[in-house]
Amino acid sequence: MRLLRCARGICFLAVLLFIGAILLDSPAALLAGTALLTGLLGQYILFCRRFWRTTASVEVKRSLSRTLMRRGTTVRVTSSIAVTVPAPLRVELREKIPSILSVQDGDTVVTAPSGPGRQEFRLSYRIMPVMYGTTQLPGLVLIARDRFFEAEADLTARAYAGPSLVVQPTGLFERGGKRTTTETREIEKMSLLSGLGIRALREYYAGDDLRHIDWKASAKHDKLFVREYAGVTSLAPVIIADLPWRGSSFSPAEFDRMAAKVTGMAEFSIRTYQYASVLIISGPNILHFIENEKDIQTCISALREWMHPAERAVHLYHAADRADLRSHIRAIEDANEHSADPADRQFLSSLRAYYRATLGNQKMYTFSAQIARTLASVTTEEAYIFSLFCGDSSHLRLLARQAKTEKLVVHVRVPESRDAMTRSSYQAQVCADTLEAFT
Amino acid sequence: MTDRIGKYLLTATAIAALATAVMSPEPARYIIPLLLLPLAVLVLRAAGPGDRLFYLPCAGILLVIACGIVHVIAGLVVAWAVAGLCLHAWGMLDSPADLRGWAIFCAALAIAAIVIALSNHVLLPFLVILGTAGAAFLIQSLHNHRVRKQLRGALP
Repeated sequence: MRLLRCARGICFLAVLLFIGAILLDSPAALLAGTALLTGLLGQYILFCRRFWRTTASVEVKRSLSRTLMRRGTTVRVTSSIAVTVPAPLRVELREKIPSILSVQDGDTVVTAPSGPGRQEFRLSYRIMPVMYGTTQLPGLVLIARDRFFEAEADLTARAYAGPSLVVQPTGLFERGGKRTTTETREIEKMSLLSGLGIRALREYYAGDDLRHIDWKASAKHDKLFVREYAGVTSLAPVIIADLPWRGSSFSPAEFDRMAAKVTGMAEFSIRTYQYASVLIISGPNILHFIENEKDIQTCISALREWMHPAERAVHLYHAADRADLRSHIRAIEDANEHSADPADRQFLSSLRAYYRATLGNQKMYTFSAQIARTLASVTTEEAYIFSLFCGDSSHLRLLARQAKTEKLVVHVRVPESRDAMTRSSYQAQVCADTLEAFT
Repeated sequence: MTDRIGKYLLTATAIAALATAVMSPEPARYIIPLLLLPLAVLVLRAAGPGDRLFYLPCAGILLVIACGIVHVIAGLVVAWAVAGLCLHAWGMLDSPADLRGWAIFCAALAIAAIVIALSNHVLLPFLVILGTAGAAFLIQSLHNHRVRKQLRGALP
């Protein structure tokens, strides 16, 4: 229970009057002080009664989009809260979020003004577990205030808590030394202008290619019929949006521009290729994958839901995979061959031995395996990576490497505010085929 | 209706204060200018934001002291009226439950005034009043603690 400004003022006044009454032996001052004290105490008792009546009226129904998930993925929580708020209270209801869950977006607080009858509210937000294990949404915090007092109560009894959430662990590395991809696919690389599918049959006109005559249909109808083949179009690129970590210092204006560019490209992809695939990541965490979405509205609403700075369950810092280590070893061997100084040679030999030992134990990153599986499920030839390059960019290099393994051309898009030197260093870090700035 | 109650309360305050000033054995003329203070706060409230209403009990309490110096019962009557005026100005005298709360306040203050009037000195009634208030606060706090525990999931 906390006294607000008005109550603190009245308390101060009452204390002054009591001190004055004792010092001056004044019954009038004592009466005045008593009047203030009685009034304040009465208000306190009334406030408490209203407050507990309000807490007793709270009803919560909470649901999760799924109750079993992996660490680092997100789940949507929907809470329906009903409460009766007697005048003159104003109530704030806040979802209690345990420290192992991070709120990604949405509202977790609702303010209820006083009013007759029952008020119903709906909260919808997404959470991401940063630790594994079984956890439970513990309940609500109810904060009520009137002119004099403010009180807070934890509603964590069974009626307000739940449901439980089982979070499975995810490691940083894949199990086993080899890359494991379960999916296989057959890609038809279309180099002809027309595809193999037949769109329609029509009568032969002079000048039509004789190779397109459908002899079976012509014999049946005693007329020459030709096949019209379905046209082909290029494959839509996969768009990869790398969201900045919520705790990093990034320019909101640049992020807004990036979000607009991603949305624009997804819309262009749907209009041009009839579908769009957007992979949303934040560092080495895959947040969402919009796979072959054909509807612009659905795609844009999904992007609107996901395109904002995110909490990261996993962070990488200067992470080197096996290919990086091998290239380091090659560079050391080259330097060793050209070095004449015995001390240098000894140092390079010991460094090479260190890298080789590391390479022997280096496993594949889980992120790389996830990216490989994701990219294997889409048929595409190009990948566009949008990133603000805040902090470490190891994950982008891992991503680009997997994309290259899938024979994709990797284009990187960065904010225009970075100078040309910095931009070219990004391209080198990521090993991208092209790099462009977006404005 | 609420405006009518406000007017009644203001009139009651004025009558009680003026009656005290007139009926006192030695003329207590300082009460009349003090009567203008709550009125000034109410006028200011109409012109300014609502949080200036804190000045209303501050101004009213001076009137209570002034009348209480003449006689404790006169101070009590003015305190009832000023309290009603404050509650009305804060919008806390609109429902029957609010009126009941005000009536309980008046009764409690009357008992305290009787205790004060019957005592020769201030210390003893002060201790009695403080003890009673402390006991009420303690009982309410214990009740709060019990309910709070239940809301956290403890068995009743």
